[in-house]
Amino acid sequence: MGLTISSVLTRLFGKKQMRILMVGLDSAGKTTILYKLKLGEIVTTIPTIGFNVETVEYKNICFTVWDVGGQNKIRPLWRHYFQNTQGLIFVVDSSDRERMDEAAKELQYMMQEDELRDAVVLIFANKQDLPNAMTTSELTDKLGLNQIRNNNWYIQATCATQGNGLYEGLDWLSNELAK
Amino acid sequence: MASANKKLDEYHLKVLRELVTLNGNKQCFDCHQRGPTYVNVTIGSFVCTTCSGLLRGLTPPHRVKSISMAKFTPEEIDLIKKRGNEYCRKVWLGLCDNEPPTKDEQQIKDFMISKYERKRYHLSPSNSSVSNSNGLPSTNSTAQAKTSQIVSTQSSVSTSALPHPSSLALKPPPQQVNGNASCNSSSKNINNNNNSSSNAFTPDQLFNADFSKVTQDPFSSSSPAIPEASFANFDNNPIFDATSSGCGGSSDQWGLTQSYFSTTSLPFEVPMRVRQHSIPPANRWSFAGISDSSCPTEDRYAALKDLDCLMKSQKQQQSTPEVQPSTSEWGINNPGGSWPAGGIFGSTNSESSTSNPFTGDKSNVWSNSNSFSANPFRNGRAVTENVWNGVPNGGQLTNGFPTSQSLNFVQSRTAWNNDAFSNPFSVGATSTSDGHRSSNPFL
Repeated sequence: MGLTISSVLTRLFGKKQMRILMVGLDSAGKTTILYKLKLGEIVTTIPTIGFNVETVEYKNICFTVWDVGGQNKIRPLWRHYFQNTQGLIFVVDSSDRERMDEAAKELQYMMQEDELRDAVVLIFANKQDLPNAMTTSELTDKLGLNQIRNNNWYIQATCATQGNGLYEGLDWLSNELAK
Repeated sequence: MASANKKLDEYHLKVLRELVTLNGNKQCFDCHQRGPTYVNVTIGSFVCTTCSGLLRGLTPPHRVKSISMAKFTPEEIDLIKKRGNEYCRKVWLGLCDNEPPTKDEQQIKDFMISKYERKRYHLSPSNSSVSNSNGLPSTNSTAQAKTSQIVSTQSSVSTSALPHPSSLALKPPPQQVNGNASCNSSSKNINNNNNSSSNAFTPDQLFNADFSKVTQDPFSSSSPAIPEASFANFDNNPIFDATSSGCGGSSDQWGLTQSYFSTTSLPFEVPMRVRQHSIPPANRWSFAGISDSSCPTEDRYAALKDLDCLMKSQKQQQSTPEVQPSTSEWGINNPGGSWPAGGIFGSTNSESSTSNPFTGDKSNVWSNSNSFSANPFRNGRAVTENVWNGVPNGGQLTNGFPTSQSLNFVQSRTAWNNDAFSNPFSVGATSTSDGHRSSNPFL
């Protein structure tokens, strides 16, 4: 009996929850990242209309990851997911130099949102396997990350199709949550 | 400003909605599903949602935009207006005869890879009408026309250079970078090979295209009459290309060819030779040679080379550079004759003047009679020897190699041998050393 209660308590209080919102321009790899984390495999995705949500457990933390479609006309919907978001994952396609300004702009808009003032920001510099991919330092510059004053941020190079860097990013998030 | 943008967006949307009702655009370009909802702005086609997802996964990724949920730039709209599915069909499926797969997602994906990544069916719009005027001798057979077109769409320079090994050497070989030591040592000939084979293709593309052709019809695509030198080049070529470049990625096809070669038993040898003569066009050799070359892998080749060097050094120690004794030595010790061939092809630069067939007239004669099997009777002998000695030979030759390889080694060696014999030497034999020298720019 006591064992049951304690296990229930552990289940209720032992595991931390973290609500994550994952956004970024279309075809940055958000859905691929989500399912790589969830299933450990690469799924064939279609452009997300609306959102996908999955829970990912890592290091005894239950990440609830909201992956929201990034196409141009549905980006205004992102803000509906801001509330109670503790971590924001911003995914960029490191090889898409043409649209880096667009990505920077979207990130800056979000950083001005009041609802995200407490959120920590993790930038996934995705598609590092592609030739001509920008490095994290280049991206730091291009995305104007140094201008982010109110939020803790961290940029992590990733390759979703190989799974590189994803858990390192989650490591940082969990550390931030523990602070 | 904002309203102007909005108006522009609305206008673009209207244009797209009209375009998508045009006849060619009513179906997804890649899977023929009715009612495309996305635009592939990389090539300017209309696709369905599923295919848009697949297109994003290509390397390099295609950029897709939803008709209703993305904003388009005026340039993109212009591109889509100009192109559309009809245009794309002519360009991207210009060389595709059979009906592309429309049902199974995996098949569609594979087809996309060959269509967009390898550009197997790509017909450059400017070249579509001139495809046959690129100086390549071509027959009316569709397969051949295709090959030449594929090549021609890649780069006209390299195409025109294709039939002329001497001009090929002018271009630095891309594979050279990856080449291993033995590749460098025999770089002269390999240069030729690499150039001709890798023109503008990535090695992957090339090999796949070629292999598929070969597997479909191995014999009809077998090699044409070309001078020995170029043959030798091709023989070498695949070794390096296959091992050093992306062939691993295309393992399916690679595997096919390997199995083809391993199952190719010697009895084919003679038919192959016969058939070859009936294949006239010289542009055939581009893939015939390549397919030949797929048999030996790097290790095997290295083994050949090592053995070759060993034999040569032995020979040098034993005797003066006399031709006669060495001939017998080769003949006896190297049943199958593949090995002299390997030695000559593989390490053309081998320092020993005695064994280098290209240095002197004497040795040329020697090399011809021994390894090139200019002599048809010799060839026959080689066949039987291979048949009987296959496994024991492998045991001998592959000492120190993994046993799993040793069997393959033998097989591939015989296959290779086949090629060596079946190849232009039958024809090239007539030209013997002179023809050889003239066709090899390095001699």
